[in-house]
Amino acid sequence: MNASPVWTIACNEWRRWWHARVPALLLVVLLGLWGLAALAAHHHWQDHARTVADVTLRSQHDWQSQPDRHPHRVSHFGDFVAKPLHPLTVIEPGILDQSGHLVYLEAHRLNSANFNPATEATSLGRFPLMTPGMIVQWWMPLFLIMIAYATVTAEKLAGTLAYMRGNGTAAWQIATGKWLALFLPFLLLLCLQGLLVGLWSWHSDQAGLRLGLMLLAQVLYMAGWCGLVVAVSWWSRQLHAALLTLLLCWVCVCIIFPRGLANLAQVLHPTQPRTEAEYHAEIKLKTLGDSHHPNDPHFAGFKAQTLKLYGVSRTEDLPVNYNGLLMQEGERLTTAVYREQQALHDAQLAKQNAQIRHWLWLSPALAMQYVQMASSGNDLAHHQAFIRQAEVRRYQLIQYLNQIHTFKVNQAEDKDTRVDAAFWQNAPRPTVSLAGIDVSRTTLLASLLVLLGWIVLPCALLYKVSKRT
Amino acid sequence: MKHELILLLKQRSMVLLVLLSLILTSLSLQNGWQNISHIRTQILHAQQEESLRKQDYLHSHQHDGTLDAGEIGYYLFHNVYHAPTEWSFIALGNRLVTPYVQRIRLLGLQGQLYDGESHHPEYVMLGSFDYAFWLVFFSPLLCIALLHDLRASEQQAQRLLFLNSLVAKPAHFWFKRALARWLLIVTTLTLPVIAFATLHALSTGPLLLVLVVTLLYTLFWTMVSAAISLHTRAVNASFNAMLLTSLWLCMTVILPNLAQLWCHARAPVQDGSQIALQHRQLVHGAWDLPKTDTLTPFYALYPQWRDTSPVIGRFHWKWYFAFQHMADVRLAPQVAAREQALMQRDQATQQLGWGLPGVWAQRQLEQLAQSNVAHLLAHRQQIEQFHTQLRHFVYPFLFEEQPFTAEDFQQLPTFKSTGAD
Repeated sequence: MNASPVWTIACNEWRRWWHARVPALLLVVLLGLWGLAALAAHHHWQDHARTVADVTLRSQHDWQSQPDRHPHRVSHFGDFVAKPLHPLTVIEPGILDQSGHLVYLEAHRLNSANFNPATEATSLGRFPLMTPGMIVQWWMPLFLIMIAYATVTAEKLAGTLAYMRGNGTAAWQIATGKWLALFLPFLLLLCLQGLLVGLWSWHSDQAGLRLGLMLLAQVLYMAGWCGLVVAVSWWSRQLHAALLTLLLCWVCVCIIFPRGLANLAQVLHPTQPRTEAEYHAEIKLKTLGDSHHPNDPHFAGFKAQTLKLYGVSRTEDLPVNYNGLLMQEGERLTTAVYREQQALHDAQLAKQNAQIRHWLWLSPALAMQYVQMASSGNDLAHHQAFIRQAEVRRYQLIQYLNQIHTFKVNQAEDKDTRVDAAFWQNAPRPTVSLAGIDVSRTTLLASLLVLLGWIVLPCALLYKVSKRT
Repeated sequence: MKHELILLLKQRSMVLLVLLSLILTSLSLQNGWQNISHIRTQILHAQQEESLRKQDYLHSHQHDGTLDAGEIGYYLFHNVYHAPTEWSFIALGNRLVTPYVQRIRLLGLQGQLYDGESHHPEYVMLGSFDYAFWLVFFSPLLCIALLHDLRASEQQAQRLLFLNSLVAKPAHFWFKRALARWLLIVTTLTLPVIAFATLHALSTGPLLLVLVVTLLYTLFWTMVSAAISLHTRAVNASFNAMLLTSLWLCMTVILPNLAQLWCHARAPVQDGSQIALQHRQLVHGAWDLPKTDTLTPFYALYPQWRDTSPVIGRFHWKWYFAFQHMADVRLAPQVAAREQALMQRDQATQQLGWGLPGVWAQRQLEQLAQSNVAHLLAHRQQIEQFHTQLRHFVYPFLFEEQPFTAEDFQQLPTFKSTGAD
């Protein structure tokens, strides 16, 4: 049992590609397309990165150049945060165009992430985007099919397969040789892509882990496809049947199933419009307490408690600004309700995700895309983490302003007071950074499991069919 | 012709393919329908709720039969609806992302117009499984599957020479063959559409348009596939299949992508976030400016309120709503420029459609479904008109300080969506 026949078979396969011209040509075309996609994706990324940088800069400038103001004015002036981008977006932009990239943080409001290019796309936006991620997900398998659908069938038809078997070459050796011949060039391409992108983005956050996971998923995915091509090619009696079967598999795995699954999830668990959630939050707030209402039980209790704490009988006698205290209490209540609403919405989306994950084994292409999206920080989990971070920042900032309102603004002349601008300049505004990759843990696990299954499946099929000949 | 069809349907794989296509076409229609009817239900629900909420507002904010016009402007939300049309299910387009119910109040419109919807972004990214997608992406594959081996299959069965010697007019013979296949494809696509339209009693005008788009688009792909597979040297079926698949990828992915890049480079659009940032600065900056800085340009636009009582105190609603509006007015040129650039992109897409049949078909169906960027802009204009209508309704109460009675409240304009059927 030595491995050299395996190697000979692989080398022979490559020799055939070279002589047949078409496979070699296809590989060159694939490389050209990859370059094109990389250029387009880089342009896309740069555009977004520039927008994010512009918004951050402008928002910072607007904030810092505020004049002396009343703190409550500042809390309504609010703050803008833009979603940070990971450089790996160059490979897989994921939901970048579909989720908004700007959140407006203001007092007692939970605003949505706005401005996504998808809303304003023309009909051209409905066609799939060409990115390096897409090249791996769609095009590499497709080109692989076109290059190698005949790999075993041709040997079978020419009688060389039976000859080899008669010479004592084991079926596993032939299968491994063929598989290696298909897989190695793609492995090389993937590693090359990984290396280039790695060099370009090595300084970025969790670059090694993210790139490693992405590469792992891509390698598993292509390994599975190579196995499938060899298996189907072995199984088919005619060249044409092999090609058509493989193309059918490709169409199902890459196009129909991902779209079908997402649509199924949406139909089974439809989302509520945002306005409804906002309205329900407002209703709930009214039942909790209305600070504008003088006889509101919650705020009456709050007042009594405050007066007791400071040992005075009227709010006018308090050493601090009662309005500021009211604002703090009000913000605490609204934030709790809005966060609850946000959690409900997240739960709704999680239901859809669970539905998709349940059927994910149907489409390894989707599983691979999930890993790519998680690694490049452009999946739902990262987006939600961004929204949460922005919300934490909003609450901190507004409560800081409310505290200034409480302690620095004299209650008697509350509305006519302006507080020194230095207070805004020192306000806590922690930078919103990209969440760690562990936010997408569940998706990553499910996807990698599916991809592992994806390489087992062709092996099993191959084992079965290779016994036949 | 009849014989050709019988011959075709005798192959078991062909019957399977036809059945699969029928099922998936129906599924795509049903899926589009589900999405649209969800939107319809939500809009209906919101409409019912809105009138209840307004009555609720009337009860809770009424003091001795009158209301504060300023409070109405600030606290009262009005729903605006992006209602689907009868045939919107055929192409969901950007209805997947655009909010179908939005809430507007009398504050500056540019701060409210771009609020996002709570859709699942990954779902939007993967795209909808509607008829437009099915037609644009899959009907070419069906054509390729059925027509790539016209000559090659006969060659393989060693009948090609025999056939050529038998038929008097080979061109006529091959034409019939291709036509039979095209008819079969067209049937699997249009039959579900016609059945669906009958079932839901939809209007026939748009149905005819859908049928024409389907016929022409499949005809194009049939002709391309036939041209390649009937080429004299085209006796290698696998080669034909590969060539046609590459062509399909070129027409449905590569060229549209390049076209989009070109479109975006040709008509650059200012990012919406810039508008939002400026709007905030204009609105909040006004608090720190002398009141005349806001009111003088405002009165230049609305001279009828010029002689109303001057704003002397720290705050007055009319000054507040005046600076809200002035922020919109200042941004109007930028908003218009954005709109124009987006329209340019849409126009460019239309022109590209003449060279790219897929883009043409997609755009035709989206025009019919009113789910294109042009319709979004029209919808935004409707919102703006409604906002103006509201402002003009409330201004007399603000500027002349007339009492806002409960009766006036009932007269408040409500949003009428022209897109609704």
